[in-house]
Amino acid sequence: MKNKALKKTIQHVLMITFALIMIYPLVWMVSSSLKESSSVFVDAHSLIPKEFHFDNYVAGWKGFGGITFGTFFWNSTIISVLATVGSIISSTVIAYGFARIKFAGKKIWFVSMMLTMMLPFEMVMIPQYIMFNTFGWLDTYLPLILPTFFGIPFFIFLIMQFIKTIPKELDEAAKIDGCNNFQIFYRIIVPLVVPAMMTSAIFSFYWRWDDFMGPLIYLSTPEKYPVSLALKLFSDPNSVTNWGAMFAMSTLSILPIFIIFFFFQRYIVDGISSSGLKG
Amino acid sequence: MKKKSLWLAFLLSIGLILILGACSGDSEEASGESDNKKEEDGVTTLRMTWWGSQSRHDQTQEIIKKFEEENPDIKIEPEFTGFDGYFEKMAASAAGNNLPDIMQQNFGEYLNQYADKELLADLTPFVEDGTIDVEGVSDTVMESGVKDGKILGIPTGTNALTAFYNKDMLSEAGIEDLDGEWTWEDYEEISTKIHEATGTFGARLMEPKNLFEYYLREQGYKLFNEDGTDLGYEDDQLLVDYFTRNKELVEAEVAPGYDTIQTIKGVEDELIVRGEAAFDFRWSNQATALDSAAGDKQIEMTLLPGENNDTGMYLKPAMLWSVSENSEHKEEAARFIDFFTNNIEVYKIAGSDRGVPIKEEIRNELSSELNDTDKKVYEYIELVTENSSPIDSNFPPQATEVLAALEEVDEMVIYGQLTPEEGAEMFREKATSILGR
Amino acid sequence: MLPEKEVKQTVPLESSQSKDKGKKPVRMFQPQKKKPKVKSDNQNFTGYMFISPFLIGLFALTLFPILYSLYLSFTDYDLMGTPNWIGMDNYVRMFTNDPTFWTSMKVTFFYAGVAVPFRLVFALLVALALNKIVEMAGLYRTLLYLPSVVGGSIAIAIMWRQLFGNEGAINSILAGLGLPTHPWLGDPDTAIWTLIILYGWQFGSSMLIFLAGLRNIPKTYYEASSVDGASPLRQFFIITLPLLTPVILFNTIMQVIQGFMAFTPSFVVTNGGPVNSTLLYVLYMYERAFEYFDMGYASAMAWVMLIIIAIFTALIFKSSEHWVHYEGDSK
Repeated sequence: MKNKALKKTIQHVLMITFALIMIYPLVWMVSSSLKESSSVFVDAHSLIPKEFHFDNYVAGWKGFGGITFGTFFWNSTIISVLATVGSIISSTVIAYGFARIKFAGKKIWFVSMMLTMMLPFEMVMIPQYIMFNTFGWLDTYLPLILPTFFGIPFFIFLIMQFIKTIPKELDEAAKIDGCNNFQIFYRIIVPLVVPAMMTSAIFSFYWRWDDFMGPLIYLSTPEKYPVSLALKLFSDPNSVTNWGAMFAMSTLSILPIFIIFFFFQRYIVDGISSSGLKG
Repeated sequence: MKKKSLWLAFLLSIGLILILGACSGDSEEASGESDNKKEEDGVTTLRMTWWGSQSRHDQTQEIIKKFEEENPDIKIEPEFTGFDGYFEKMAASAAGNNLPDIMQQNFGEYLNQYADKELLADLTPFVEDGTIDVEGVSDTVMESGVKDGKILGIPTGTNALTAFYNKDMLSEAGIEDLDGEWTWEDYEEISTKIHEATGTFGARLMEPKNLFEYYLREQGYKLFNEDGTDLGYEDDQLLVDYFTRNKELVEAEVAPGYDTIQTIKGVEDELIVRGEAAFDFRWSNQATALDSAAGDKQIEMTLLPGENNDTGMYLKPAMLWSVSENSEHKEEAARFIDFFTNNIEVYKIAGSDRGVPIKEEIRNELSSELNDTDKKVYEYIELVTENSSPIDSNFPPQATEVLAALEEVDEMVIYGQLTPEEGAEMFREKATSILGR
Repeated sequence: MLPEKEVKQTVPLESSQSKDKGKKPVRMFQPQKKKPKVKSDNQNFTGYMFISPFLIGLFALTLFPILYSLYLSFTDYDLMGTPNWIGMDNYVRMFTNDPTFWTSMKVTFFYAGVAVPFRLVFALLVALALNKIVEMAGLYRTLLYLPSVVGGSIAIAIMWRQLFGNEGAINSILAGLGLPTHPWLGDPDTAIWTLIILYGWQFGSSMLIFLAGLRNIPKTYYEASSVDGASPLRQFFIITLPLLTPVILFNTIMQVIQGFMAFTPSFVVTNGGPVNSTLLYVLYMYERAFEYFDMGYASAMAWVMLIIIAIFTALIFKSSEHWVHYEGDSK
């Protein structure tokens, strides 16, 4: 018994050490957000600021020309939440189609879906801009949100892989009970792939939150900018950059992602292992 | 339960999308028709873009406010970003035929690229009829915005290459203050003395991007030939000398190699700021960043070395204001540029954030209220104005790629992968192939 | 309509791994004898119903930009002018007259070849460890996921230069241990390794997917095999690993795609230097497109990369028929 307790303690000590090494750079960022802006680099090696400059947060929050970070955070929230809802629902539906139903041409569509992931965004962004321009969607959130309602290949493929691990016997039993495909989908499959959906939700939220290129080219009114874009407004390699304020806002911008993760991660770990297969 | 809430969420988001779509549809209509509608009330809306950091965004919006007060018939919609991505965004806008009316433009290959594609309006008529008043601005400054005989940009202010030096370190090595009259040999000697006296680096490694061009100019050559189809110098010995000079300094540990340069995190982290090198050659508008990070180190500015540094030195537009060719309100845009160039309020708000003002009256009027750094910069620009020759604007569109090749070769030489002779030859090969495409 | 029979047989990833089956005593559901197939017309309709959002999105939004970029790869498009058709010129130039293209290709293969397995193994090990721990599991998960959310910001660039700088944290530790220090970022031989470590450090997303996969394995399997007296190691090989293979497949494919397309790390941390030793393919492509105004050529590069990634992906899918185990396929 004692041995076990010792083992456990060692385990935790190892985990904590490991975790601390992993988050060292983050700690560094938080500490830089409290240093005086011009000495951020000169004192880069020390983790504890000489004096605590909370005014970096004030200076950063006030934003640019009267538009505060409050606006930017709100914009990011709208974009990220809607895009996440859109991509998770549509991706789950599509994933079910690909994973469980046999239909003509499935392989071709699956391959096309995989191929769309293999071109970098930077290379399709100019044609995409031209397209959205003719739709009249520039300077709106539509180019950022609407496409997610047609499924995100990464999530489709991810959820597919999870659906495929669900025993087919479940579907067949349900079929005998008279369920059609749609009923099987939302009565049996959806509850069982909640962990995969939540994993996708965490990623989707973060990706949208962090996306810089999309908002950069599609939005032009500063009042509509999300945080990711606003953070870049601090720096200009040729003139004075308020590094302290930039680090302060970078630190704040991680908080929502952190909260979302903390909230959703329990759905990942309370997977089917404990609840799903009962019935 | 679960499925119900799921469907609810789905419906809800569809609803939201519709609302959002409707909203943006409205605004789209509004902005689409705004030009016509607003013109009826006599108000013209201009779109304007720039890049910059926090202070510039704040100041520029204040300037716009001032302008709108004085010009109630014009409304300016600002669209600003950081430097990262600015030109990508502009490229997309150009592809969508959607460039803003007024744009902040960069001198050199960017201006030339836009000029080549005829995306920028010729401002000559507005300068001639006095809409943009550039009376008394020196020709060499105006020249920098001219391409193929058209005025495509009005400089926002001027900049120049500068030899920044740490005065304290110089006196520690027993060297008198510099007056701008010094040769490359002097530079090497001083750097070496400082290195010996202080144990730190005497100089910073010269990066070739701007400095090799200066080096050529100083000896009467140009980087590119007149029509931008080939290099502007014949004798590779010039580049060999440039490489050798640098390599010797690095080998003597008077200057750092790329292994040190590669880890510098930004202007505020430069060796001169940390007191680890006495010299640093860079653009004059970075004085503010250097000074604010350097604390109480005394950093001074002087002309770059070379016997003929007055032919080597030149004034460069910090950036330019351009009007896009597809703008329907070129005259109103020109009026803003005039306001920016001539209104003292602009500079009271923004100082020399976009370079030292191009108009002498403005410079004089401001001189009494300048802070120490700005005063230093103004004096330096004054010195350069007297000791310089016009900028070369014959940069071909491939210039960036040629310069990138030069940087790569320079790295290989400094790392010892190539001798200076091999490097000079390799650069010519690469440059010829890029320019010949 | 496409030939249905054939498609059905080639639906990817049909696996026949039933060897382990017998060892899993728990059968939650009595297997049904295979029923006669539901009418395929009906299945076709249902299938297309389910994937219809994808198809609409593909045709309405995704396809045009992709095909347009393919078209641009045969032109001299310079971002601002009108594209002129130049046939295969870009592709010919790439393979015959652009040493930097080959450099970036080499760098990328090395990077993907080392960084991808590194991240996958690392992520799997951490996920396995986290799966075992009960107390404070949420905290550990969060802490270990966090590095992945700082993304490709300027902050990361500065932190990395701080960490591997000449007087940075790593060198301080080495000096403290009496070991020789090294200019990690400044040496063309080691700079790429700092980026590989960065890639491994941001292992959070793969870890999370592994973790979800691990949690998806019914506990009853383990309980049953414990009753049979199987050791934990044996359990790992007969239960965990086979049941995790669908997720391993997913992570491998996605990481291969992401590894080849990696761009931000070298863009923000090293900008390709020193001496192009970290010039990843997509970074070079980006420079060509937006700094050298050579969009046509960059588009051609994108399509070459697409073919390379597609080949790798296809090979992995092909091989997966032998090693991926789908519970859903069990008889």
